[in-house]
Amino acid sequence: MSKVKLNRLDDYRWEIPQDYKPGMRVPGIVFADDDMMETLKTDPALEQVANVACLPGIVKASYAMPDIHWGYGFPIGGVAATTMDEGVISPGGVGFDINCGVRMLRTDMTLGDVKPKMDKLVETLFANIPTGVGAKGRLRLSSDELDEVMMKGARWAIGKGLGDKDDLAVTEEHGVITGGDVSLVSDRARARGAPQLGTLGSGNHFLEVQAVDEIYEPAIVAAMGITEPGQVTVLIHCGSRGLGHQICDDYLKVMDSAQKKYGISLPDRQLACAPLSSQEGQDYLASLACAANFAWANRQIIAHWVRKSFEAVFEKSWGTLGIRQIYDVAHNIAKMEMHEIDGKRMKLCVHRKGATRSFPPHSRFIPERYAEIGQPVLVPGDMGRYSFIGVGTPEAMGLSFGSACHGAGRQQSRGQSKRELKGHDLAKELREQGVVVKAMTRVGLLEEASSAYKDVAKVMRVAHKAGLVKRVARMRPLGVIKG
Amino acid sequence: MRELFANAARALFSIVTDVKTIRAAEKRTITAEAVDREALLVAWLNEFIFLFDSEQRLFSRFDVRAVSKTKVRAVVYGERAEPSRHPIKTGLKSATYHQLKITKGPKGYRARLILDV
Repeated sequence: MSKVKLNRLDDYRWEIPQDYKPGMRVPGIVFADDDMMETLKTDPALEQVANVACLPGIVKASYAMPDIHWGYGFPIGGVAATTMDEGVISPGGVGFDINCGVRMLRTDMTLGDVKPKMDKLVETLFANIPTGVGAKGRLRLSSDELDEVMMKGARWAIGKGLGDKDDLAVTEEHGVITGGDVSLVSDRARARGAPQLGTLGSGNHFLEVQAVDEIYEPAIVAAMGITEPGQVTVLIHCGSRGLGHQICDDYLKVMDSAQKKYGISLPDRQLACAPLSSQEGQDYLASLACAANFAWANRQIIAHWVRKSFEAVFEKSWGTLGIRQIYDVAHNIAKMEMHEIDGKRMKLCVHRKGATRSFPPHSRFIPERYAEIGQPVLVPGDMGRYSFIGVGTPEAMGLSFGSACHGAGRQQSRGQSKRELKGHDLAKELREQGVVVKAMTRVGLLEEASSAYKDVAKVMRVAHKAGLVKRVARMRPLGVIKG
Repeated sequence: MRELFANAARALFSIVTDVKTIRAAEKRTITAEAVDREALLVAWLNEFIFLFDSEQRLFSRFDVRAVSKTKVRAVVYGERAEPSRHPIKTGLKSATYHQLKITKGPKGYRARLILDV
């Protein structure tokens, strides 16, 4: 059992009191039900929540979303906000895959339309979207073009004809963060990133063709263009590839060396950080913007090839097939946001590592068309079960700086999953359940099996009950491509 | 300490592929620097992650010439990854500082380092 001290606040909130360990500046707050907490008690992730509470300038609490699991330094599912004057920025609080996120498309097609051509569709998607370790994109970028990608994000892709202008209106930050400085991005990050634009990558990244399975809030999903069960949607999950990994790496080293200079001492080296006001902090923020923009361009390009793949298989234009974007959210990012602390509006740096922004109706930071319903919160599950759409709530602003869960959360390590499923033909088993899967490697597939993940329905239930997000629809997978 | 660094690199490539399939067809000189020995181990392994991700290079022989507290220099042998000959088990994002530790025991040095895959 974990030694972490816990106080129950209500049905879905647990506090790690500030006096649990020396150095904590705020308490930890974990969103979980009794069952989840039973499992969490033996997970080092709770200790990580307490460690994050030691960051200089952190306000209110170190939060953990219901899909919390063990990460490197920060837990996955962690949210931490720091003040501009005394606070720090931590690359580990964003993660290696800067702006890893999810993009969702809706179509006018139904289950009946796509089912007979599912194999062909999955094959076509797999052929059109480079996938797997070391996958190289179909684009050949010059150094100047890479600079443009890092400054313009998804806008760059739209300018190249890789997508529709309307996609930007329904992308967090309209697909671009300002303040990037390409001169701060190392040659190494550029070398890793340039060939990888327009690739899905490996690990838990995937692209999924889905059918709407259950609608909980018909009026809300109607605003997203979802009208009936059986309607086909597409989910894309990936990030900034080697470019983001290298930028995180570069700045972890910078900040690890700068700890002494700023008199910062933390319980875990991976939490390395620098004051937001310092040169190191500002340089990281400008580099993070470059990686985040690269990731938005990446998902934009992949979405374009999804449309092209549907056109090839169904022999109709994507416009006729009604393939429109619902939303694109980042779930590994740090952003400057205004939040209320003790009745005072403050500018804060909100780190979300494996957490999705969940902003309420009428927030000026969400698309106009969603003003009445709130920001779509896209929560993928595992490839055998289901995924969810939620919308942001006013309560989340007070509970978690407007943040919710980002997925199911692992319950088994990759190695454990491989060992337990040794000898299984997962692709065949999934096909029997009605899911067509194409993966680069059989082993990679075993690592990402349903049994390796918590049930996302339970995670979503807790997030919904706790007020972090309103659950509005559930989708089930029909076809999946993986690295 | 030289053996520790060589073994750590070998362990890294054993996570990526079957190291027995990697031929010593080309050699490279690798150097890395960091603020202390633990961070040096991270920097050393990140050299290989970079070469694998950007140039698809795999290595199986690590001739570590010198390791101080802050610098390492080695000549390493390997080849370009070929999907037909090298079964790629996983990609690597980075070596992390999380729970990083090098300790000295009766039988030599021992390191704990966690990779983000």
